[in-house]
Amino acid sequence: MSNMQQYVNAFMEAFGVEESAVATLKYQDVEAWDSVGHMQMISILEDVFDIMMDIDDIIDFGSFEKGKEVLAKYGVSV
Amino acid sequence: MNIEKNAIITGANRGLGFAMVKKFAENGFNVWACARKPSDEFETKISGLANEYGVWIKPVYFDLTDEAAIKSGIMEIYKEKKHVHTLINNAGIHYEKLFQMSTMKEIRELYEVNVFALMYTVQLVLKMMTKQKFGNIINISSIAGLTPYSGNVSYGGTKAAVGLFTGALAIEVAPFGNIRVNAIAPSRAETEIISHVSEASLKKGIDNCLLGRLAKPSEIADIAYFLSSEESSYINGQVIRVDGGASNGN
Ligand SMILES: NC(=O)c1ccc[n+]([C@@H]2O[C@H](COP(=O)([O-])OP(=O)(O)OC[C@H]3O[C@@H](n4cnc5c(N)ncnc54)[C@H](OP(=O)(O)O)[C@@H]3O)[C@@H](O)[C@H]2O)c1
Repeated sequence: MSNMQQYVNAFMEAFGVEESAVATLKYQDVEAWDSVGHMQMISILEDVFDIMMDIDDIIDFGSFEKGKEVLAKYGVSV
Repeated sequence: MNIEKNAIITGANRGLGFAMVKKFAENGFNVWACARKPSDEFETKISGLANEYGVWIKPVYFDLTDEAAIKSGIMEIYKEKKHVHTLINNAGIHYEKLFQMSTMKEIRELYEVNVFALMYTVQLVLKMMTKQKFGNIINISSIAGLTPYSGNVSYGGTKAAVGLFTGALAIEVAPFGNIRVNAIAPSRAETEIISHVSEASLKKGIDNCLLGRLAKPSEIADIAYFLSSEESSYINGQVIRVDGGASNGN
């Protein structure tokens, strides 16, 4: 499975949203993307891409788009 | 669920930490035994225990005053992709000194090791526990964090912080699965840490204790093991006082 598909899946799994809604999603856009949901999504991504994100990056990870930049810092290109 | 039981124990080379390594190994736990620096004596001791009890005990070295070292130590564990059933934040430093005679450097060092390093270790290990959706975090606090006394402003402050951290963290991590967070608050136990304590203060501690003696390291290790076991499955967010009745004698 491509990195992009795994990235999309993480959002779908963490926030229970449709694939079509993922691309424009931002922190707190949906009820499930609160602080707890955020950490759940981070946990899935760390597992899938075998990385350990720093707190600053976890905070910075404010949207689907922004997340791509954050992941790039860990050598994951989506 | 039959899950491999693996524990991370800091300050594992001596004192309470080593007693915990022994107790956990005896009970079938594999252990990442964390210590500040490599030593042949330590490695011989843990491999002896591992052979005796048929478990693995791996040394992991990092200095708790060095954030990057903590991260690389925990990463070493993370990369093994094993379950972390229990984390025991045991390593700590102590001194008893009048507040007005304590330098800020000394106070910062206490907070660095006893509080900030502990918090950072938890932050990293939680990444594994939230993924696996279970775990036990056991922080070693102290009765010094529950009862104020002279000479105890700085050390007691660090241990009180650990106590509050424990309760609040239990609440925060509850949505992430069956992750329990508890602390043990021992009174004085027979380890090197008390070599810095004055005779008078030691005597007072023993006089105040209903059992009239210091704790054996194994008596604290027993409680740590209990808190990580299913027998304590309904205990969460607590600071368990283990003081031989010292609180009743005060
Ligand atoms: N014994 C008591 O009376 C008593 C009572 C209440 C609470 N406690 C708490 O119980 C815990 C264990 O104490 P203990 O009695 O076993 O004391 P101990 O015999 O002095 O052992 C302390 C342990 O912490 C480690 N440590 C200290 N600073 C470190 C650092 N910067 N990086 C990595 N490791 C470090 C030590 O490693 P090194 O060998 O490298 O120094 C050692 O393994 C502590 O948190 C203490 O505050 C003890």
